[in-house]
Amino acid sequence: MRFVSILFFILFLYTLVSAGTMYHLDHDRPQDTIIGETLRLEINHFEAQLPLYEANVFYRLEGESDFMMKPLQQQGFLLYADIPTNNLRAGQLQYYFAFHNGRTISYLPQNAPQLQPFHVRLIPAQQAQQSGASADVMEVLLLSPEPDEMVPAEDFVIALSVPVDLSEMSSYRFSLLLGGIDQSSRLEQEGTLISFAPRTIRSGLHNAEFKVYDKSGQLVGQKSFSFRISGQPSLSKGYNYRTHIFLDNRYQNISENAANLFRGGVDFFSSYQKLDFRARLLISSEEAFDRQPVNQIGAELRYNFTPTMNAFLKGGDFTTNYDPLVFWEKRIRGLGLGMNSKYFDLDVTIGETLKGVEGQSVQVQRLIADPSDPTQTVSVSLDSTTRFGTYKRSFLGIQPKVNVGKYFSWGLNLVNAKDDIGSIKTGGNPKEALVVGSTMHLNLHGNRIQFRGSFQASMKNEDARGTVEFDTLAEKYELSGSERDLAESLFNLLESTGFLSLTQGLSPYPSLAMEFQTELKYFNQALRITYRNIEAEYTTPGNPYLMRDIRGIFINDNIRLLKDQVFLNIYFNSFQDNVSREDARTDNRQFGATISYFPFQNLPGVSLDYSNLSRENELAKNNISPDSAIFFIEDNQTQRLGLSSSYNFVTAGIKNTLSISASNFKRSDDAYTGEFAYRSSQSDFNVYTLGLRNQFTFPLISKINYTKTSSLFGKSDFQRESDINKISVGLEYILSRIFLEGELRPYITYTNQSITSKSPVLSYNLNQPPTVTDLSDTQYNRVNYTGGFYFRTPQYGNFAFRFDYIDFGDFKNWSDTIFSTRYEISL
Amino acid sequence: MKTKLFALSIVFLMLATSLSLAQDPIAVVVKIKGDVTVQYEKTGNRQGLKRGNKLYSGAIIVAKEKSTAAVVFVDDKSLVRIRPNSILTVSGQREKNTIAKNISIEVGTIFSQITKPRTSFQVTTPTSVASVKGTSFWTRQVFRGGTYYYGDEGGPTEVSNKAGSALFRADETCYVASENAKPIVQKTKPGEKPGFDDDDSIDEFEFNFENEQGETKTLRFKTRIKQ
Repeated sequence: MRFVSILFFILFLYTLVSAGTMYHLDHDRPQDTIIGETLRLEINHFEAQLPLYEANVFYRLEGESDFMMKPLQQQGFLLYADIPTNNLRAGQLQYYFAFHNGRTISYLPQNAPQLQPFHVRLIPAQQAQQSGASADVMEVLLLSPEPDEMVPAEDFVIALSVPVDLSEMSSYRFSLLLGGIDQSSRLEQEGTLISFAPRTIRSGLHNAEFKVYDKSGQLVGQKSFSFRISGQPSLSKGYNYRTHIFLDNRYQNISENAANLFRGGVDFFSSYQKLDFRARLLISSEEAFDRQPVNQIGAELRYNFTPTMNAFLKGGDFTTNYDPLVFWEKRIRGLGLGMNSKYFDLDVTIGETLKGVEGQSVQVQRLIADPSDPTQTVSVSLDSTTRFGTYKRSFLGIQPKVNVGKYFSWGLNLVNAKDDIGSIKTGGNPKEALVVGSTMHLNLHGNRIQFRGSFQASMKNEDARGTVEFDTLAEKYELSGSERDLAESLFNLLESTGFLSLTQGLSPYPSLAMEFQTELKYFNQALRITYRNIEAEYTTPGNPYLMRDIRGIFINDNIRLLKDQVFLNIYFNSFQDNVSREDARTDNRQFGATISYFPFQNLPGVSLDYSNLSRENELAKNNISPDSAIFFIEDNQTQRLGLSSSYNFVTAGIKNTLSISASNFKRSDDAYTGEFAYRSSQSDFNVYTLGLRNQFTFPLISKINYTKTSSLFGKSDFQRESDINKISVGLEYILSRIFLEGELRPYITYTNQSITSKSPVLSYNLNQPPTVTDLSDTQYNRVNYTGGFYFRTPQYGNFAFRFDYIDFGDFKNWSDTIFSTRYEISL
Repeated sequence: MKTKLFALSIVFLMLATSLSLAQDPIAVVVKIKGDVTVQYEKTGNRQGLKRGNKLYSGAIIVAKEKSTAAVVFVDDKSLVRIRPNSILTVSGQREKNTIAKNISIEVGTIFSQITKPRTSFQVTTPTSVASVKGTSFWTRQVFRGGTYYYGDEGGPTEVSNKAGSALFRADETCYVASENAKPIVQKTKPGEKPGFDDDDSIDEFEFNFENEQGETKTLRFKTRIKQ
């Protein structure tokens, strides 16, 4: 079945609609995105009864070794993440979604998401984003603070202006990085003045970077500056606070099922002299006693002894990061305390990652042999489990770390999680895990040489009920000699610490995870080399999304040429996945390159990319018959070739941005031939997109996008065809300084997808390949109408409304409607 | 029903258009010390100014005793420093990407610094008008009396009224006794030109240092603004 799933996955990869049927998720692949624009990745969660927790999107540029993670924001049943593309290069961006459903991790796409993720193309902007030469077109005036000024915290405000005509202001987008943190969403704009006045700011030196982008995402102006915040706040004005409140509602009627969801929350941040306090509250109508917590309440108190030394105490719901191999963005409900300083950091986290949710069991009647007369049967009443519950899982994390300035840090870490057997009556196997390890960072020659190393060992217990003697375990795992001695010493250590229960489910051997990464930035290039080895049995309760059973080397090099007019990225990855599965162990060889050209003239930026991934497993190498329900043959090669460009031009005062891209994706499968050809995942995809955005002399923006996708799957008679034509037209108008000094942005979008597919109808016979009995034709249109508005006011907050209507034509006898509203205000 | 909707849309668009032509900020307050207030009509509410406050055309600023402020214009970063016991009106007329500025002083002292003259910058007093381009100078308006202009740096500034006009440069003083009296220019005498008091001409800087024991030491020093 698995190869069938892969066939389906590939089908979905280049269709514009893909769905996770198990979790009723719907993901529309976003339009190609011009560098500088925000890329929105979103999914719709259609099944309110099946909760999702800790939803994240993982993304990376093709060829990179590491996926970056970003938590999904939730608006009703819509989950999304906005990915800034300013610091990304042109080419293919890979991504997948991951969730926790209370018991297990699930993904979208569902199978091997790290190896076969979704793709979206990033199109080069007309001019180089990275080039300082092209970034000074627009003058940016820094009004406050003065460069290197010392400012009291309570008087601090950043004020900048861009000397352009007022009517042109809506053509620009502004971003502010303060100390590396993006504060763009908190910028206030009035006329040509852009200001930022945080309620609180720490004392000490700050670096800020302000950038101006035009509608096409081009960087047209920037200003970098530094200032100091006085360490002596006045007693009379020492108290500062900031409050952010939001309310969400989403009503939907999808597939004739109506649902309504409410969410609300408050973020509160305050400071008084050297004391910082932060609190967060999130209330959702999804909260239920038989689900993992959706509501969140948490607080943090921090005392700043000096700008570089503080102590903190956290309580309630919070997250902490140690290292991606150990503890990363995992939500904890409990307590955290620690300190940070130039020379020593400490974090202690105690709490729980799962709450106890009782399972369900029902009484069933069964017939059994009568003990008094075995020839007869009697009816007895038995407990039958219909749904396993979830044990409450306690969590402990400790990380002391030694620092030598910004040049070196070395930390130890311990993470332990245990299911509480007594927390529920009906459950599966209670589990436990322990991770011990070390991390090291080295930073030399002004960030030009960076090294990061992490080495971790984990032990786990898959069934923590009962007790067991070591001899029994040694016999079970056939331990002898030095192995036995090592295991016994670990066993005794665990017995004395209580981190793991000594039961039949204990695996006395540690599993390892390690990652070493070196980055060198010399001669206009950034070379990164990563070695990763994560064993299949390695388990960390602090990062359930970690990809395991993989080892290999990843090399990536970014090179700047011709005075930053040409950017070249080349990569080579050699790794194995399914390492522990012997016959299914798969060798991966991936190489590729992206070359982008950004002329310093009014000419289009162009990007060309190529990638090649070959996969071969032991079954293919050893010519083992694919007659297996678990393993399947992998011997395939996937090539991707893409070309994209964008161009800005003005006609009759209208600013236009034209983008164009073409991709070819070809997969050849050598594993299945002859009578097994129907199993082949050979495929050929072509995707063409054309986009045009117009910005008129009055504040109207129009967008039109056309995408054509044609695909072929399988071989010979078993081949399937699919064609999708998608056209999208959108209008957005901006009304400035309207009611309550606000800005109103009404918008409307019309999207039409025309989908046609032809696939063979197969007849299956026992022990024989299937035969083609007929051809199935499917054709339908999906039309999506979207309308809404954003209303932003400087004093009374922001209000957003959106309406979606989806019509499936004759394909389905219903239509979907979604209403989303959101209000938020910062005080 | 359709007619009503259409009419409502027209009214809505007209309202939006008229409101969209409303004022936008012309300057921002970058320094404040003491009690400085702003109001937009003679009888309007008076509000205390704070650093970061935006100023719109017609802002009437009152700096009380021992109170000072500094205001920067958003189009070219022209700076106006307001001295204690001053009353003035800050006005600006937007002309595409520039602002034609006018500082009207009833009484008091201001320091104007125009480094990038994009458009006209005028200082208006009861006696005269000073048109400025690329310079810095002081203006002191005596209560029910004459006006003193003191050249500080840069090119010449023209002062005019009903009686005539005159140019003054750096280290020159222009005195206008009344709106009917011709401006008189002479060399600035030592000590005659206004200056920044210790209160606002000296900026304090401080740095925190940590020794090996983690103790924090604060080093403070002061710097005087160049006059």
